[in-house]
Amino acid sequence: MASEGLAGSAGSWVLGTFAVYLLVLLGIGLYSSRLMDSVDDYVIGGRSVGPVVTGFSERASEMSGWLTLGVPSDAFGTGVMAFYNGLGMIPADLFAWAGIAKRLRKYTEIVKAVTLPTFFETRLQDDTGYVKGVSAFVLMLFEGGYVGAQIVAAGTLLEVLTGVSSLVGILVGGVIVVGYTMLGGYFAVAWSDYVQGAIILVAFIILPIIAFTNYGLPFGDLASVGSSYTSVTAGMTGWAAIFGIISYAAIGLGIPGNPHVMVRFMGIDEVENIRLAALVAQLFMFVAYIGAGFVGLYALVVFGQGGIEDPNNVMPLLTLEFFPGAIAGIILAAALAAMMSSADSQLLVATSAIVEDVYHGYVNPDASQERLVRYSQYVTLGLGAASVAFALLAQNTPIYTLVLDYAWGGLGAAIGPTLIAAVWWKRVTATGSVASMIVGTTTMVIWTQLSTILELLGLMGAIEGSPFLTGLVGVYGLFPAFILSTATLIVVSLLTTPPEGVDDHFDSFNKPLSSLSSADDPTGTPDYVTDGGRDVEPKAVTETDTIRAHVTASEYWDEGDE
Amino acid sequence: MPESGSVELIWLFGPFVLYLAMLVVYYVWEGKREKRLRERYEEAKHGQ
Repeated sequence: MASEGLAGSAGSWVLGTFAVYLLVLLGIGLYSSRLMDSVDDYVIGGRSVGPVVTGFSERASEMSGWLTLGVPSDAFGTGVMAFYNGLGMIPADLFAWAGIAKRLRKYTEIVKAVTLPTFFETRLQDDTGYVKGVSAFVLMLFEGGYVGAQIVAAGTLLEVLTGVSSLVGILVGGVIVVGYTMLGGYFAVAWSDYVQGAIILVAFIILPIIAFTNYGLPFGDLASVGSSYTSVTAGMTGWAAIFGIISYAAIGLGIPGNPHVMVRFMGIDEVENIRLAALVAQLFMFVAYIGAGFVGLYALVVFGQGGIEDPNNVMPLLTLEFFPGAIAGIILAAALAAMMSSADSQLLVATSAIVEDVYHGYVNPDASQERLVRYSQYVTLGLGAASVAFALLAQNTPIYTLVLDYAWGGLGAAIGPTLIAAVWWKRVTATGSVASMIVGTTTMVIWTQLSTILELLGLMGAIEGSPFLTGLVGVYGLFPAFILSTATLIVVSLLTTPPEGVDDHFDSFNKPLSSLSSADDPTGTPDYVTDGGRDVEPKAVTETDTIRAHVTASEYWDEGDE
Repeated sequence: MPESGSVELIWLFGPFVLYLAMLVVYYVWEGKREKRLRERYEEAKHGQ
């Protein structure tokens, strides 16, 4: 069976390495399951994961399927412009680490929030439940789609390599991802991300180096394939070039709204370690984006324009071209495993939205930690099964489109503006936040289908007459969706009444956590249950107590005591 | 065959060089800021 795939005899190495790797993942899952006593252990690892693992997993959690197949495929299709995939992502990620990470880490610990919807509710002191409900719904919808996209990527690659049908690939991929996520929660997810991220990073360093030793720099050869391949605007000029670059840069706008990235900020062990984690994550990005871009360009040199039928196969084919069977098999098995690392993180975040935000928040506020962990595992299983079904339905959609349009963009436009405002703007209100989420989601969905809609309305003729309008309609939907979502947030917030006592909350952002707490714990943080319990009596009134008093006033904890 | 210089390398990799410089500035600046914050807190604590 293995010989039917592209990998040929290396197919057995792929399957063999992959099987060994799965055993390691299951081992991590089993070991981690012993560390889980509460829902915050399941969702954010009890805020005890170190900076290097956090940094790697912050990147690996959202870049792997997209990075491994998507970016090389994009470079193969458009040329050097594909390097601009990192144009917005790298600085946006740095700004997120610099401007959001510490504030979110401190504040979520103070208000005992382990999910973004709960964080929004406590920060905006919303007693209507709308902020939590709407954000949890958006999060479930798009993160669920994200899981499906990653599983499509894993299934496709397994089929391409070994000849095993994509149905089996998707099912095997799904079962494994769901299995170890269910067993080990955030610990398993973060550690598996770390291992997979490291392997895939090495592959993206070695592949371009080997290609370089064989072919030298690819740019000369690319120019002979077509002048657009060596153009930083892919041969476009005027408005088309401007909107093309905006589309690449706008990808970065998705970072603050993607909860599986933000949850890394919340789960790191010490606030002071955020700096090191940021360094690790950023260096990962530099190497990964440039390496993945070169992989696509060298594939163009090696196989020629149109030399690869399915662009998703660019990275696997180049690996098989340059490495002997056994090593290629190992690298490709690692790539396959890396795609799964994305799915596990999103699965976990979607689970937390259902169990922590919906079930614990609305249905059964008195649920015990044991029950919450058990239900989280069931929900992970159910959501995983639904995502596998979605993956089967969507398996013919390119991974690049699936991730960017339906998952990354939706979350970025809906959640991002509220998240930034929650830690930087005292005036933001719950109503403004809900309006922004609705506008962001709707715009993203409509913009993705805008060409089709205009076609149906018979307006495409008029649009095509104007280069500006043509560029605007074709721009990546996150750009207009983020702008409209932000504008809505600002306008509606200014028209409504902000929560009280926010100055105290913001004061906490500029102080070490240890100075805010009255606890004797070495880290300066009290030993409390992080999702609603209040089992620490303060020895003195501190800023932490003041902020918690505001949360209490919002009645968030009224029914939450166990 | 066109030279590799035909690619506008400055436009292609210039942003990455700038981002790397931003990362270095952030890492150094954030380290100093964190240290200053803790020192200020320690002083305030001992001054009580």
